[in-house]
Amino acid sequence: MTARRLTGFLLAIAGAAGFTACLKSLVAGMEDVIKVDGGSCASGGPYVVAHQCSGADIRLIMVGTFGGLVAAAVYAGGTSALGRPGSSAGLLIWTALFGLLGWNFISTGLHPPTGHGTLSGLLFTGAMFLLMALGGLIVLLVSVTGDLRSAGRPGPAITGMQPLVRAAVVPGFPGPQPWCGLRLAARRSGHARCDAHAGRDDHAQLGGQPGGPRR
Amino acid sequence: MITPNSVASPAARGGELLRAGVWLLASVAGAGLGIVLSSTLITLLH
Repeated sequence: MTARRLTGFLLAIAGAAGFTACLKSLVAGMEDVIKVDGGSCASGGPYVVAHQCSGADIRLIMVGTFGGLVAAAVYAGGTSALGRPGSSAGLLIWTALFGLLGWNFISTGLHPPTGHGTLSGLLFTGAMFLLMALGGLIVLLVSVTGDLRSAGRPGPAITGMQPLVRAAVVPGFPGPQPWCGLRLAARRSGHARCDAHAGRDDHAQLGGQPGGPRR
Repeated sequence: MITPNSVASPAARGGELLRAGVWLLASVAGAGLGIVLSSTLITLLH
């Protein structure tokens, strides 16, 4: 393993660990806001605030959001250094973020705090988030599977490219034909039978005059 | 006659599999470490 790969491996572990911890911090902060403050809170400003945000909620959500962004960048860098596209890291982060938040919304909506009925808004939001997570997961799986299947094959631009150099066909000298592998040996030994067959085959295949353009 | 090379090189395929496996291993290990560390982080921020 080269130094670049080793660095990428360590960065990917650190980034994934940081992102997971920050994501759980964000979820914990959101749970506090939903269960303690009724779903919304505010602080400061000229108006009377019904639900003041606690310092813990602010810290949990702020660290979870901005720390998660930094950790996601570290994880994407490590992923790229490991030879995987950075988009794979982005899709995995997308899936984890919306999956966990969606699950949290649905869980809170089904088991609301005391005094609240079933929170249909949270259920709807949670279902939408889970759908978004599923979309990211499908794209990620398709991308990884496609990469593994196409490994070692030339790119489509090379596959479909026309040959840059063609062999020149000297007039009067029939070139080698794929269906007459022993043609050269036959010519050397004085047997022209193979040449005659090849000429007829050329004429039949091209559907034109003998000696027409060869492919 | 030019035919496209449609057969994947086993070495290249193995390398791609190895890279994907190492990346997946790092992701899972990092996620596990993050879950362990998250309780400490949440306790600190509370």
